[in-house]
Amino acid sequence: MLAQYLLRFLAFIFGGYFVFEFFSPQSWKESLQLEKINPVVLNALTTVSAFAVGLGVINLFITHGKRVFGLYRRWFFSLVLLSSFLITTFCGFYSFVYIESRNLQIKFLEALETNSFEVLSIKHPSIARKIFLACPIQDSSCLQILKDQLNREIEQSKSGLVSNIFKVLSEGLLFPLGAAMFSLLAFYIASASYRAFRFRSLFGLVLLASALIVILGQNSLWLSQFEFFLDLRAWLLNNVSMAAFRAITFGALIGGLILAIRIWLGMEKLK
Amino acid sequence: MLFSLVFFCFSLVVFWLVLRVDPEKISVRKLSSVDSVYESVEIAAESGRPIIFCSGLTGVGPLLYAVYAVLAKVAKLAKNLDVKIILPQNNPVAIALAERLLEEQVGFKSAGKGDLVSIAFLSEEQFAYASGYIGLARRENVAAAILLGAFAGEALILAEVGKTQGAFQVGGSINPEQLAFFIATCDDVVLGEEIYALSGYLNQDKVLRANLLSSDILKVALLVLIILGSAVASFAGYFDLSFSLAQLLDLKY
Repeated sequence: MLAQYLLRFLAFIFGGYFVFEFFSPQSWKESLQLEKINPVVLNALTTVSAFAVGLGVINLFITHGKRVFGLYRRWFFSLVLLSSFLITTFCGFYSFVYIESRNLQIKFLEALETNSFEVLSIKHPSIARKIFLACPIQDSSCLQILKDQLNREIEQSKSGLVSNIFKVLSEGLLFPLGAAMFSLLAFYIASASYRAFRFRSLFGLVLLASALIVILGQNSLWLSQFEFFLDLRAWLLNNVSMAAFRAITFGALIGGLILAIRIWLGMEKLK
Repeated sequence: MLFSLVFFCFSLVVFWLVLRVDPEKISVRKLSSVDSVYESVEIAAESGRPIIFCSGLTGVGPLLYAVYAVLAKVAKLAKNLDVKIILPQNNPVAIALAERLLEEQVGFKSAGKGDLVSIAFLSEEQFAYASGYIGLARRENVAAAILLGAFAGEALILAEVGKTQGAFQVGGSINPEQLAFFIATCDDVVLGEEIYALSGYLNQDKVLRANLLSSDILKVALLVLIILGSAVASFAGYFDLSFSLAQLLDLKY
């Protein structure tokens, strides 16, 4: 019970903050230094929402783990899913950590041109230790050789085995599969429009006629020569269709606004 | 910006005032989609096959709450009729919300019917989610599908799968572009704001009724403003009718 009140209180405070931040004039924002506070609040929100990823991963493992270990029907597909997930995650993290650690070392070496080693080693002791082991005297030629080596390692890792596996899984599999799904849409549109454009009532006839005018006006070379036809097509799209679109959008936005107020005021109860 | 602020404050006042109205006095026009929602569960119960409830790409926000209010009602019906309900999800937070809703409000597990619910996280990626949905709907051989929420390019793919399987479908979205696809493929369609109305209609709750009435009042107010705005814009050339509230109050946005 206390937790619910706390959640409602937090929702009210944070909701109120964003309402205030959005609606307050520039002069208020400047005097209250909202530009400094805003990134902190947004970072906090991002951090909280990052936990959601963990929730998704746990759910994924529970659902598909059960299938794999229980050898249920089609367990093999679940195994493929989980192993692809683990391999992609490992490769992605490995590449990121490998490249990022070398980039930090390069930045350290570049900072040495303007700062002393002692000052930087206080800020970044682990990086300083690595640099010290590679170049104990820190003379410029040794540091340059080290920098070149680090750059070379980054370049090599980009074409290395781990990066290639990641590329194959993401760029070679995920993106083309997504594109394939999207391309299916063209065939689905054809079959859906075949069903929608059969006129069994007066409204069906109106739909068919207006669809024909728009489609032919858009594509047909011959019909596009008639100005009246093009005007009719434009009128249908800009006046009739647009008005309906705006009416739906207005209604949905107002419904959403009232529901948002309800949530903000802590009145939302899912029944 | 200042107009938005005035409108927001006006919405707050309207909602506060409407909350004081006796909910019995607020009559709600019957939506055809209400019957379709009930029918979808009944069809699934008759055929002994599951029902799939898809909230599409809806993120956590007001729309998801409206969709989940419908889900709660559908789940209660499904529980009473022993119908398996499948929830394909694309948002991890929505999963947590759905689990809590089904456990606390519907009580599948406490009734010993935990097996009747299957919440599956498919993917956050749009088309990976669509392909996961296709597989799920085909494998489980669903008898009915309820598609409510925010949809994008995958809307037609999801709806066509149900259509080719002969499932009874109710579709609804706040995205007007996707509504056309639902009209072509679903047996009944919930148009835009009707999603919010549907949750109010299905749940005879004071706050939900007040929600409906206040959004209608705001719509009328907006309509009056549009007509006034059109008139002012039409006659602005003849008379000097232009003024800025922000300039009047010396506020800079």
